[in-house]
Amino acid sequence: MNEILQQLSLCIEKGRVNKDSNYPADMKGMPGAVELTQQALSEGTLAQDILNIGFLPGMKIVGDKFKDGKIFLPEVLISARAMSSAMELLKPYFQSGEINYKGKVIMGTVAGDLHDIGKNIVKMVLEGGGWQVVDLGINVNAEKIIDAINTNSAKVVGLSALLTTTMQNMKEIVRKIKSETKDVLVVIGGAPVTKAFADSINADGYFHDPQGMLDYLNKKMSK
Amino acid sequence: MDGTISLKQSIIKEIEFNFENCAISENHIIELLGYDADTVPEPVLETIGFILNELPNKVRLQSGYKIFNPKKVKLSGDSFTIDNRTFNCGKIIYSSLKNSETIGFLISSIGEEIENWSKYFMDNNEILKGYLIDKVASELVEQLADRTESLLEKELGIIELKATNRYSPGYCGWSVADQQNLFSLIPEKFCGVSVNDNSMMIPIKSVSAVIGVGKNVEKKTMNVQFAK
Ligand code: B12
Repeated sequence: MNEILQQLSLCIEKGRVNKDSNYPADMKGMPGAVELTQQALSEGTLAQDILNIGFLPGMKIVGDKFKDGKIFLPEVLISARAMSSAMELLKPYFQSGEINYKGKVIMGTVAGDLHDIGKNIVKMVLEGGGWQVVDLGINVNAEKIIDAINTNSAKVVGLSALLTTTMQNMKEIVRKIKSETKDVLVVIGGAPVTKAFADSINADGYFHDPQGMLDYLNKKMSK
Repeated sequence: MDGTISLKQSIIKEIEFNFENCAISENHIIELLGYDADTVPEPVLETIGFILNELPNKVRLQSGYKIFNPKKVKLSGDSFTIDNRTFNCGKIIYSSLKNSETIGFLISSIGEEIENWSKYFMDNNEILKGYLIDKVASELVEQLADRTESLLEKELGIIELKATNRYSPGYCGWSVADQQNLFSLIPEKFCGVSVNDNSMMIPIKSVSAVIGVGKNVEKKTMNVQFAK
């Protein structure tokens, strides 16, 4: 059983989706993340173990390689694609409560800002790390975020901005979150954002890349 | 046309470029991503091929510029004024602009459709496609701005004027918030671009810049520009 999960982990790392895929060339003809997940499930492996032992270690290796500059972002996305294809099979288990995410993160690009791509990549990395992300999209204001925090009982918010002008809108959003909710961590990021700015507006964290935020959340959760 | 005559008034022009002359190649994108022909993963190569094939149908290459009437332009103290609006462009940019007789404002945009295209894939679990489209789009609009700058230079050459490099609000210490005043100087929706209350241009894949114009200005190589 463990061998299947190890193999699954490798498929995620290498970005092997399924057996019909030609990628990567040296794994041609071999089963991919989808088949291995099916196999593990049919052999009675706990869905939670598939996630924790199969998916997450594979994505972790990829995330670390990216952080160390050994691979580039497209390869992370190739792995994420393999993971999310296989993840479809685990969806029912999440819904039934048989497996749990590490927690929920509310994500959005702040009011006045329409830049999507950075936030989407953060979302994908957090999901690849076992977190559930509620994506509010672009141009989101404090009210919408606070609403989402309440309806989802979420304890983490991630905010993104592209320009120094739209970044200023983070200040009011953080202030409102802090005054209207309790114990919610607010993490901010995006090209113009700095640690100093995050400190100045009372945000709990700033990370210049998604992996930094993932590591931070994982550490916070294990405390 | 005589240079002194044309510079007594403002010049405004909108241009639609065709896609054929774009220099977006597979190799160039691969390089931008950090790879070379040997290291690029197959799915990336395949996706770039798909994107470049569809790209002409997904973009509208619009550019334009306005060169202001020199009488309405003043330069002093690390800033310049056009039609009584002051732009604090900062030391670095000012040092390049300072010998200008007037200022040109340039806009390039590749339109909104490409954003929807990228978003479609993002929403449908094809994040690699979505990301690569975004990357290609960013490169395309930068190239469009380069082409527009060259064209402007050529046209200025005819009336014996020269141009500096282009400088975008948001770079070299110049605040993006000055976009508000810059956009108030050109017609609404010029080149299909508008700016929101937070100085973000819509469509996203748009670039704005000013350029110094005169007989005694010069273009610097990039290194010199940023070393100062
Ligand atoms: C590509 C690019 C463009 C492209 C595309 C823009 C777009 N986003 O679609 C074009 C050429 C169109 C462009 C235009 C402009 N740009 Co520009 N652009 C960039 C560049 C080089 C990369 C941005 C990008 O898309 N990166 C790729 C994505 C994936 O990264 P990302 O969004 O930053 O997200 C990553 C991280 O930031 C982080 N992250 C993001 N959000 C979050 C949230 C959390 C919680 C966490 C933890 C992490 C995180 O994780 C993501 C994945 O790694 C940056 C400089 C840079 N190196 O960052 C400048 C930059 C963003 N641009 C800048 C500026 C000024 C402009 C313009 C105003 C210039 C002009 N006057 O024309 C315009 C504005 C456009 C508009 N619509 O208003 C400035 C912004 C700072 C400022 N002064 O406000 C930057 C920072 C450059 C600089 N001066 O240093 N730009």
